[in-house]
Amino acid sequence: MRAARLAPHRPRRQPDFSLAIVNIVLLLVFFFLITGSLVQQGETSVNLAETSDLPLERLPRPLLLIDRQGGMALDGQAVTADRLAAALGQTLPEALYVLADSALTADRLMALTTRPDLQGVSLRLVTLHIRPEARP
Amino acid sequence: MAAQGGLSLLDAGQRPRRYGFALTPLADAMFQLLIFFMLSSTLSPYSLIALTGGAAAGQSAITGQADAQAQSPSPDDALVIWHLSRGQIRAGDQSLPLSDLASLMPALEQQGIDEVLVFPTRSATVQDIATVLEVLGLHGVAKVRLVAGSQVGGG
Repeated sequence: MRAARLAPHRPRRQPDFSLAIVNIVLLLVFFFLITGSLVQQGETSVNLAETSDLPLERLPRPLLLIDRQGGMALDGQAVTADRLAAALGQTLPEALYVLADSALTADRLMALTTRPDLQGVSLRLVTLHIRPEARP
Repeated sequence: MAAQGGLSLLDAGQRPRRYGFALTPLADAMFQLLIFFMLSSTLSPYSLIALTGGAAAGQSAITGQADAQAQSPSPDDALVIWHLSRGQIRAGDQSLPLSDLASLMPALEQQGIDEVLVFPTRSATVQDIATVLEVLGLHGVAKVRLVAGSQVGGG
């Protein structure tokens, strides 16, 4: 008598975790989009100057790579100092981000700051942020 | 007749088919995106130091006006002139390793120095410039002038 009044047994639905997985993966994608910077192969080839107390920044464009011998590449394309302004385009960008090798002589870097064709372009030196305790 | 036949089949016990939203392709695409961004991006361990453009820490004299100020500072300005060479800095006849530069800053602040003129010598490197600008910027030195083209020997 008592058993007859119980609700009929329904098969339990298996929980679907797909939506949770999609949410987590989407969050990870956002994380890498926000915190990461897309870099080209050659842009990691120089040993950047190291700083430890400056705030972290992203790596914007245009990026000027200067290797130890003074060779330049603008966003992956080899360029000379004389053609740099032309390679930057008709309207010069507000800022130019310089990835200079730490062993590059300072006068080569300073020569870039005094070029009249780059006047009005703010030059920003990109340094590698390391933790203070990791410094030798 | 055919429509009637279809209706009769539906009525005969076949429930209308429900189309669910398949999440598996979406999850696959998300994983592809995730792997792409993980492999192609680097977590940004970068910092930026402004060399020109009127920034507080580190600016070079690229305009004529700035050149004039650098060459003939007014007597009211409290400034020091440093010669930067590889791994060390020289002020007058005193040399100091760059690693000890931070310890010099409290003395400069006490003297009210708010402008530093830096002459990079031939032996100075980009790392030396970055170190000097970092320390000066952190200690709030209002004006830092890097004098370009100063072919000063030393170091």
